[in-house]
Amino acid sequence: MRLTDIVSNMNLDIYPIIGLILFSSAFGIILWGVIKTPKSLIQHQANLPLEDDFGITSESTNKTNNETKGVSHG
Amino acid sequence: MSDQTQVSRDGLESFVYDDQIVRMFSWATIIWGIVAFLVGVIIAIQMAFPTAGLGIEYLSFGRLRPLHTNAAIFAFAGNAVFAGIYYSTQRLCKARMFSDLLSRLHFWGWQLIILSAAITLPLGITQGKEYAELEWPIDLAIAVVWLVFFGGNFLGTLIKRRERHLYVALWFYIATIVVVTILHVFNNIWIPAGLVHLIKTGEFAGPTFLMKSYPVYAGVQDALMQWWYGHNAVAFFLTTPFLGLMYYFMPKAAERPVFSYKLSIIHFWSLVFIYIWAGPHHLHYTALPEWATTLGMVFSVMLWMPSWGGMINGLLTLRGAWDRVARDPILKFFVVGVTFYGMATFEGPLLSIKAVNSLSHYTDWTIAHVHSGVLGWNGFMTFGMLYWMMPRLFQTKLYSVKLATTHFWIGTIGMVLYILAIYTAGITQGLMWRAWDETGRLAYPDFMETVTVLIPFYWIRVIGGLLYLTGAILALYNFYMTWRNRPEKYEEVVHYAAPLSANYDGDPPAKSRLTANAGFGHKGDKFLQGNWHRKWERRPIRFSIYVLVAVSIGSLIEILPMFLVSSNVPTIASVQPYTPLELAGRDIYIAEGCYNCHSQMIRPFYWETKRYGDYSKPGEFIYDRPFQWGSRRIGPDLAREGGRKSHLWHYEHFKNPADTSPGSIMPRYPWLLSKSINFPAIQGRVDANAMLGVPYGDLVLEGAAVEHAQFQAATIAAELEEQGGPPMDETMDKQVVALIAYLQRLGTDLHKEAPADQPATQEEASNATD
Repeated sequence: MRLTDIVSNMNLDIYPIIGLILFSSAFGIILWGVIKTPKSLIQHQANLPLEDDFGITSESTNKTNNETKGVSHG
Repeated sequence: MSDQTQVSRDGLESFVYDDQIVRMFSWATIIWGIVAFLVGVIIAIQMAFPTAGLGIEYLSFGRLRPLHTNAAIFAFAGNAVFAGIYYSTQRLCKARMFSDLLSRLHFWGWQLIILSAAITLPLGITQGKEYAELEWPIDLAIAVVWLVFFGGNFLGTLIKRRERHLYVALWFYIATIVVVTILHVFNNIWIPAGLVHLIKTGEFAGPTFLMKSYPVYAGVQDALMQWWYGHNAVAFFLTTPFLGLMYYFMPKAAERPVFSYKLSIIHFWSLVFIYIWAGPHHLHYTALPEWATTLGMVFSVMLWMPSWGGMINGLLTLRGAWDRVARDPILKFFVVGVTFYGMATFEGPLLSIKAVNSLSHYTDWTIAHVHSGVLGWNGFMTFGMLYWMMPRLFQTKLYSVKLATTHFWIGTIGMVLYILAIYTAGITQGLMWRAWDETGRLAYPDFMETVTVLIPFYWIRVIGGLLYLTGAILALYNFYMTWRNRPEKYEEVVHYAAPLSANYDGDPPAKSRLTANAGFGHKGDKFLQGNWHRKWERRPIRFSIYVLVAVSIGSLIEILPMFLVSSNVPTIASVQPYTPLELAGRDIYIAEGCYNCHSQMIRPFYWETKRYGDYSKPGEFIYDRPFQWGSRRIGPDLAREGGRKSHLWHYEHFKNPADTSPGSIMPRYPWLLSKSINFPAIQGRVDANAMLGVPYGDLVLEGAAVEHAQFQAATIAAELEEQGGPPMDETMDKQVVALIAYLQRLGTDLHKEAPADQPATQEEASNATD
């Protein structure tokens, strides 16, 4: 007996319901996780693109640490 | 590795961003963009003025249209995505790219792939599947360049990053890399027929045949796989990476953070969960089972919410900065780009609704929709990003803000002209096809009537396309002049940042806030505090696996039943494999890109069956590798073309379509009348199909298929001569004969008697016992 025969004779009506439950559960869980994220953390995360040229990370000191050097263009 | 990282004072690491790779991808973006738009204008002119192809095979519409789409998607948008990702990833990760060598291999490998496409597609070397036309050697190159060079380099950068949180733009990039890899691999499982033939027989049957492959999927299953790929290529090549770029570059340009970071997280997961299900809406009312298309429609409608959430999030990022939009062309590009994202993602779900789709499918409406997405969303986001990056990359001011503003207005007017004209053309076409009079006859029975009426709109499209192209040329000039003003030496900022600590404790595990001592309750309370999502966001490999799981669920639920439930594709006993000559003719049909203008799928509507004949059944396509249902009807459907016209009519039609069909916009195919059939390759074609399960019997014996093909070609050539065509000696080895053999076979099996030795199908057997 082939796999095709087995699956063809299975009742797959439950398939879309399982899909919907999986989708809704995962979506609900993630929504909850996002809602519970502290505001200060969200603000820090949202600001990342605006501070990314200054060489400061959340785990480093708060001073700007940049130097420049010249390179010839390639 | 080429990080050039040094540990300095205070334990900080120093590093320099690799902006040279961003410059390289940025130049490639604008140059390939101009090529893509130019080819688009050329084929637009051919539709309005068909003799513009000059009867040259390398310039014919069917071969150039895939070049246009591939150049726009993979060369223009692709290079733009890479430029933006290399720029933003380094800065968001506070790290140079993992490997300069991988960056360069990625760049040159990708340009080589584009060059291969630009050479092979006009030569007619194609798989014949939209947006997946490139043949197997190039497919392999794409897999290596995309996954190993690009994916490996990107993941390596995430792993050695110095910023713990992965900003949401990086999530969109992760999804892009993971899902495009899956799509590319699973839609490109094939047998390389020419290579197998060479290895098996030692016979080299020409370079074109060496590149030839057949997909392992056939008919309905191939269609599902192709549109699962096609739709999600739009989702994960043209949408998610550009959303990542939007979430990075719009805050940069507006100098304020994204409106709602929480909304961006919801936007991301919703898209990843939902998009992957939507592909079957491209196949409404076809031979694909209805359960699959309904599922595709439902999820497409659900996409409205996250897409508009993302659009609103993008536009509201400009809160308080709207006054700058009037002055700043970069913000203008972004605002119009995001607005087009909103329009295209409103229209996409609309078109997926079956009732709307019954009108829009196969018409120019789809073409207008696609162009609003690519020109408006991808194009304008790209130009906005380039205008923002170029002065920073060249460390000088933009040569001319006025020129950039001019580009914006020319491009916008061009787009609006293009899209409005083609919307009108599409709806006109759809309404004319379905119109019938009070006696039940088609109001426009001659298909040509529905073609000639569109010519004025096609001319407006040419003007719109020319304007958009002109804008891109202005951008190239502006960037070139900016580059000329660059300093003698680029200054490279040395950044300092602490490496990520191996013992990070900035986010300690949640503690239960409950006083009761039930273990389950404590666990639940910890979960509800949501720390687990913040942990995901810091772990790129685990994050990638979750994305993989999310897209796999949607894919498998649709694909597995299609492959494993036999009732989805009921077989028809009278449907037999193509003869060797018909198979060769079919491959010519594919090489010439006929599917770009002709469908082979009659939908179960009165107006379609009246015009074309009995509606298409899934079982009719079980030997079609690849399926050729098409997605638009510039010309009529060909599913039941067999036996409708004489061989001579087809011969004259290929020679000059306007002779047999006055007003036709089909190009001439004079080379089909003079080029010879590659007979030695026919055995290889039959053998490869037999390997895939096509019952060819004795035709797989050495030389049997060639002999059979030569006999059938001589028969058709003789019939052609009888009908008043040229002497059979002149045509019996010509490609046109093979193509006629294929066209005369189309759709004829359905009403034939089944061969005597053919066992009854499952459906027939169950009917007999009832």
